[in-house]
Parts: sequence; C-alpha cells; structure tokens
Amino acid sequence: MSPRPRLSRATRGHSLVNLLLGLALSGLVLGAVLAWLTGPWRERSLLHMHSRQQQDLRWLLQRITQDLRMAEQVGHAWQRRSTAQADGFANTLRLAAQQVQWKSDLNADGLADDNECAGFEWDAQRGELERIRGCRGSTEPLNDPTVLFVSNVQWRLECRVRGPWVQRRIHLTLGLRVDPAQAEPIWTLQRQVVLRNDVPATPWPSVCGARS
Amino acid sequence: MSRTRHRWPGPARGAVGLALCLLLLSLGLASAVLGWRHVLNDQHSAQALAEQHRARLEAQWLLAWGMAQWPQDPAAQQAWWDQGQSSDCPLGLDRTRLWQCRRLPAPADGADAALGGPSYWRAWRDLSRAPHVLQTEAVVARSGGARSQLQQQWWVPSLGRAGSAPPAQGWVTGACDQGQAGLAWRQVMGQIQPSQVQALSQAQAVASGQLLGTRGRNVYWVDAAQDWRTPLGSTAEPVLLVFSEAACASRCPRLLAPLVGTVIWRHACGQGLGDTPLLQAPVLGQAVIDASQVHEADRVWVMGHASADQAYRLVWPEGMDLALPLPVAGSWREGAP
Repeated sequence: MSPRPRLSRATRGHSLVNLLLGLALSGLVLGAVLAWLTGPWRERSLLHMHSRQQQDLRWLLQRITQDLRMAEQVGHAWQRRSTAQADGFANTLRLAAQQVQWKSDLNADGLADDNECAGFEWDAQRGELERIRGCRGSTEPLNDPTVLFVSNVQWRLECRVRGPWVQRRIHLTLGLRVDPAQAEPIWTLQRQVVLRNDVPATPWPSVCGARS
Repeated sequence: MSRTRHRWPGPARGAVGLALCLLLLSLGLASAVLGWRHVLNDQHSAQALAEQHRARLEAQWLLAWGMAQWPQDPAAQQAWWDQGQSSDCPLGLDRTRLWQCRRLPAPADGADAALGGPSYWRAWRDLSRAPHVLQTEAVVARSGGARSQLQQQWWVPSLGRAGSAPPAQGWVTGACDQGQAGLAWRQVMGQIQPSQVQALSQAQAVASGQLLGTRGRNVYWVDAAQDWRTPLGSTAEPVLLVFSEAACASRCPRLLAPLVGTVIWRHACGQGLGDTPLLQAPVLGQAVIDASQVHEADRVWVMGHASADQAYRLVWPEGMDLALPLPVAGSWREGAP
C-alpha cells in the first residue's frame, strides 16, 4: 500500500468542524437578516391591507351616496312632480334595519316601471352589501366579504320642511372589520347624504315618521 | 485505490459565483419591481377614486356656475340666447318644437386647472310648451379620465300666472272708464306682462328662423298695422296673437284668417277702434279687447274653446315666487355621460 499523498494547504479543503462552524454562523446571520426583514414586511403588508380596505370603504360610501342623492328622481319633473299630485316615484323611499329602497326614473320617461327600483341591502351574516337592481329582488354584491367584511350599516333619516316640500337627509354609517376573520376591531365611517329630489310635504311622507 | 478530488478550474468557479450573484440580483430586482408595481397600482386606484370624487364636485360647481351665467334680467336674456347655436342643443330633442340652447365651456380658470377642454355647461328650453323651464346639464371630463354628469331643471321667470277667466267664454271685453284700461287683459292674462309676451314672441321668431313663420310658434306679438291674413293654430296647438298698442295706434288690424286660440287687441281706450268690424274669419277660442262694446258683426265669428289658453297658461308650482329661478323638485339626475 502506497503512502497517502500529502496535499498542499491550498488543495486540502476544510475540516468537518470548519464546515459546521460555517453553517452555524451562516444560519445565525441569515436568521437575523430574515427577522430584521420580516417585521417591517409584515407591517407593510398590514398597512397596505388597511389602506386598501379604507379605500374600498370610501368607494362603497361614494357608490351609495351617489345613488341616494338622486333617489326618487322623475323624468319631466316640472310636469310630473307637484304638490298637487303624486308621481310614481315620490315617497317610494323605504328604510329598514338592513335595507334602503326607493324608485328612480332610470329611463327618464316619467312613468314608474317594474325595473326602476333601486337601493341597498346588507347581509349581516355574510358581511356583504348588495345593490338592489329592479323590483324583482335581484341584487349585485358590492364587496367581497373575505377581503372587506361590512360589519355594520346604519341609515338614519332626517326630514326638513322647505315650504311645500320636504328635504330628506340620510345619516349613513358603515362599519368594517379590520381583519375580515375577526369580529373586532372595526372601522367606522359616517357621511350625511342630502337627497336632492324633494317630495311634497302634503301628504306627509310616511318614511319621515310623525310630523313634528 | 487513490481518490482524486474533482476541483473546478479557477474560471469556472468565478462563473458559478457570478451566476449566483446574478440570480440573487434578479430576485432582488423582481421583488423591488413587484413591490413598486403594487404601490403604483394602489396609488392609481386611490387617484382614480379621488379623481371621480373631484369630477363630481366640479360638476356640482359647474352646474351652479352655469346658472350664475344665465341672465335674470329679462331684457338681457334674448341677447344671451342669441349667442347659442343649434349645435348647442342636446341630441334627441323634438324638432317639431322651438328650442333655445346655449352651451358654455367650463372656465379654464375654474376650480381646477385639470377642468376644461371637453367640460361644459349647457342650458336649453322648449319655447313652445315650457318657456319657464330651463333644463341644465354640467358635464365634467377631467384630464385623468374621470367623468361626471349632472342634470337639473329650473323654474325661471317667463310668462307670469295667467288670469282666472275661463277660456271658453268667447269674447272678453273690459270697460274703458278712467283707470280701468287693461281690465280685459288682466282678466285673461292675469300676472302676465305685455313685455313678457313680446319677449317670448321675439324668442320664438328668432328660433324659428323667420319673423312671421309659423313652424312651432304659438305666441305672436304684432306691432304692424297690417291686417292679419295667416291662419294660425289648431285645437291641439292653440296660439296667442296680440296686436300691440303700436299696431292699434291708428286703426287696429283686422283678423282675416281663421285662428284657434286667443287673439288680443291692445288698443288705448277710445282709439284704434273704427266702425268696421275686427273679424272677418272665425276664432275658435277667445277674443279680447278693452272696450265695453264690440261690433255686432264680430260676435258671430267667435266661438269659445276650452284649450284657448294653452299657449300662455303655464304650469307653475303653487305659492312659488315667479321672479327667481328655483330648482324643480325631482329633477336632479347624475351619472356618467
């Protein structure tokens, strides 16, 4: 058996101890770097998610506000809406705990058709807000509850007499789960919407409650 | 057995290192680009939402700005409308009627520099059926792509409230005693001022493109003394024909062609009424004159009609101040143009 050749230092390689030490050190450094990176990364993702949620919440409010403002609009209004006679759209506003509904003259012909119901419905269980389309109960969702869970919707009506007319305002409150999977905490956004289409004060709109 | 350890030659080791470096660098770059795109997307959607919100607010502002441009002084209104063109009218208007339209571009020095270009305010009114209703529209197109449209109708001063005289009574006469001049006018026309009728007649004449044309016209104010020879009106479209004090200065013009609606002679009491009859053609509706008596021969030509007042009796809301523009309840509409 020939003697083991003696290798030069440059070609001898590393010992097992060296390797283990190197691996341990690398692991430590990598762990520290990852820990340093993931904290801000998680924070950033969370911030980003919250920012998106707030943006979506604002969009929801804007969407509801726009429709509410023109509620009970009627085509040829100067002929159709008067204090002397009722048109098919005035006083169609209905408010319930989880629903607001009205009629608007979508085709502007002055006549109330079956497909001219509008409004919003809140499904509290699913955290979904839906837009009512037509008078046959069909709806379209406005939010994806897995991302944006609407946990609270409130609409409160205020009626003000302006001469022979009544102006309505809706105080709208929307609540949103910060984490869609957790019941708390909740973000809340409020807005006051002035309905631009007044209705006659006589007969007094039933949705306004008793006349003060 | 001898073991030989495989060793990469020097240049190959460098290439592997370089490849690793490049891979890491690419990963870093990809991560940065993705993150940046994410941020840009967020920024874009937030900006789009804000732009849409601004477009709506600006449309509201433009609607109010436009109404401020509309002259409330009746004397200035015709000149204001005259600057409009037929192309200013919205598409789909009933061309059998007479329309006044005016479109104003949004002011460049308005609320925002991004407003302008295709943004505009427009007003139009139906001179034949509803000269007292101004329909307005504000369309905002922001440079960012957001658009908004608002529409609203306004009650505007035009003809006042008509009188309470039933339109089917045929002849309406008034005493010419001192201080009673214009009694017949007041009885029929109520709060409608002669200047209002004159202004509407002029507006219709301009809109119809010919001074004595009849297409779509239903109000005529006549200052000329010549006898009237053009048949006017139908039971569906009655007219109002007024011979002014100027027309009656020496002798009131005679009506020599059939008329459906209302004809009024505004003569100063004691002047202009000769011995000759005023009518030589049938009037289905009413004839109005400030004289205690009309010529016997004139009586047979006038037959009352229930729609004789249609040309001047406008629908006004109860209790409304007719001197100021007021929004029409139920007319607010918004959406994308």
